[in-house]
Amino acid sequence: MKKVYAVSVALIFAVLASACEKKEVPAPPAAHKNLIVVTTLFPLYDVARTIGGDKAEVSLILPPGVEPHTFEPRPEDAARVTKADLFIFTNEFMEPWAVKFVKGLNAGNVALVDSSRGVTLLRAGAEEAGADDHDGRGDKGHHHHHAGAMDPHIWLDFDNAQIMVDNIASAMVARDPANKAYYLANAAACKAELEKLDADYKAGLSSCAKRVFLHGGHYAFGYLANRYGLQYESASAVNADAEPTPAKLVALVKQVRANGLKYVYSEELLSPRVSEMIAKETGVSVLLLHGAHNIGKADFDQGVTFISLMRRNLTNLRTGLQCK
Amino acid sequence: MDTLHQIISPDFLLRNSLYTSVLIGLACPLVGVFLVMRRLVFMGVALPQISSTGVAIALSLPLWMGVKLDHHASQSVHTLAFAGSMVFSLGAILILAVLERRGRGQPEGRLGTAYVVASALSILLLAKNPYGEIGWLDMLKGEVITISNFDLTLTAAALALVVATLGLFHKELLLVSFDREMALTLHKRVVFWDVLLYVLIGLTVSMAVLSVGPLIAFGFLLIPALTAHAVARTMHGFTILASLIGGATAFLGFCIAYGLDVPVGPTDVVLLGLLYAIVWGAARFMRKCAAP
Repeated sequence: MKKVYAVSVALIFAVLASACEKKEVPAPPAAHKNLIVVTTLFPLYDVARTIGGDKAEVSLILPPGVEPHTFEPRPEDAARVTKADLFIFTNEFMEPWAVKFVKGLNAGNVALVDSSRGVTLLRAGAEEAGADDHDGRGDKGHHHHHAGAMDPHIWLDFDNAQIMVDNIASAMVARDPANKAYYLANAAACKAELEKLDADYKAGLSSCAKRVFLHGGHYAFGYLANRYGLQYESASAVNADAEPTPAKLVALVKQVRANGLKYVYSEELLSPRVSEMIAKETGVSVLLLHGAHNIGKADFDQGVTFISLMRRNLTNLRTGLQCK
Repeated sequence: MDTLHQIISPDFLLRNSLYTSVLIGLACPLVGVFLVMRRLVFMGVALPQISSTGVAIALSLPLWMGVKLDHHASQSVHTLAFAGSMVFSLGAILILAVLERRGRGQPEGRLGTAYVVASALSILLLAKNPYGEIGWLDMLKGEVITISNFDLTLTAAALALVVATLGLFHKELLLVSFDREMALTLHKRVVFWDVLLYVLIGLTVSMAVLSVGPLIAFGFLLIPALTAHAVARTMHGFTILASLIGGATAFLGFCIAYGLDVPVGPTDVVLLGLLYAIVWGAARFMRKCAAP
């Protein structure tokens, strides 16, 4: 009987071991000397592939549709990063695992690129500081609950996005100086697009009936609100897995009514139920405001870019804020 | 006082969340007392997690078949999640109970293994979801704050069925749980009553997991029962007291969470823990004082 057990266990291990064998992936051409770049979030991926063009192989560590705040790297990610020239992450507040992860791999070849170098980080909820009792409950201590944590969503201020472009371009040039002119030209084109986007936001949001927007997701749009002089409230705190509190939801409903809003916004990749509940209670509609942390499979297949996502956001913001 | 007035007002925005919390608080301890008395506390830990894995598998099925779920069609998603949760809870409790009855191996070891395997499976299913995890995290964590009318109706109907069945067959369920030999002597259909009890536990756990998530479901299943056990003198009093502690804590937890602007679920569990510590300490003190 013991022999039967032993043989069964051996067979199970053999079957499992055979499952470990990777499918054959076609090897890159022998003359292939492109820069290998691994990025953590979609904006970094999009900027890096724009700057790198056909001189860089850029990949995104997040699988399509995966919410980045709760992401944990997989063994295949470690293998991919070990072979990379550059590992680009947003900042220590967005991906606190990134530096530890890459250093733990002892992959001496990989250069760690903190794309936020030179960016002034805002505190989450900082634009609310000093605001009046806008939740209408008349009690203190309820509307500054975001304050304290740093807001890592720096790419939603397009000036910051340009600094990120510079940081990524510099890292590429440092690793591959032979193609310096190519990278810098692509970076300049990318920055020009961001400048145009910023100008369109300024023009598009300058004459709106409303200056406040409410979001059923986590606190992500502080930079955008700060840049264009808008007031912004979210249901949850800055980390995406934070649970919304009952008091915050009631305050948001009151704000929808007090401000005569017609729309509330929902978040990509997370459940829209909070936004839908606020909308149902107040009789308003729900629009998507995309934080661009990551995109779903359908968007990937359609070739969506950071700029196109931000243009969708502008359209939805203009609708929600009743802009002329 | 103002907070209390707002909360008990019939047009309070989060009335569905409040009603669901209190329903879960009242119903979970009713089946929790059976877990405590049968010394199946670990089952109370493992079952909510297995139920949560059932939700993940049920939501994965359409994706594996190439059908993308519309997460705005919340009723169908919720029903699917409930079905997965129920099938897995019931399946797990039946298998674990049969193994326990046979008395072989280590029950705690089996339950511990079931718990960690279920947790790991949920993570793997999330990682391999080809469409990403839209809404899944909230579903697996429980969304007590966004309970719709449909969710409330489903929860209320399921828990009413549980309470009514427990009330009707309380004697039989108690007999087969605590004096199996006597039940056999009295020619009671022991297997039938066992299965009925497991169905009721599975149904309650499924509803609780979907509404408040596995961690808080575990809290409401066991802590009120453990608290009541420290002071109750009769089985009837034990059951009623556990249920009242659960319901009252759910209400009080909601009020505190609303007043202090903190999430509901963790507040409930911390409150339950505090209450347990106080009651246990007080009961021990009283026993010492009463001792000659």
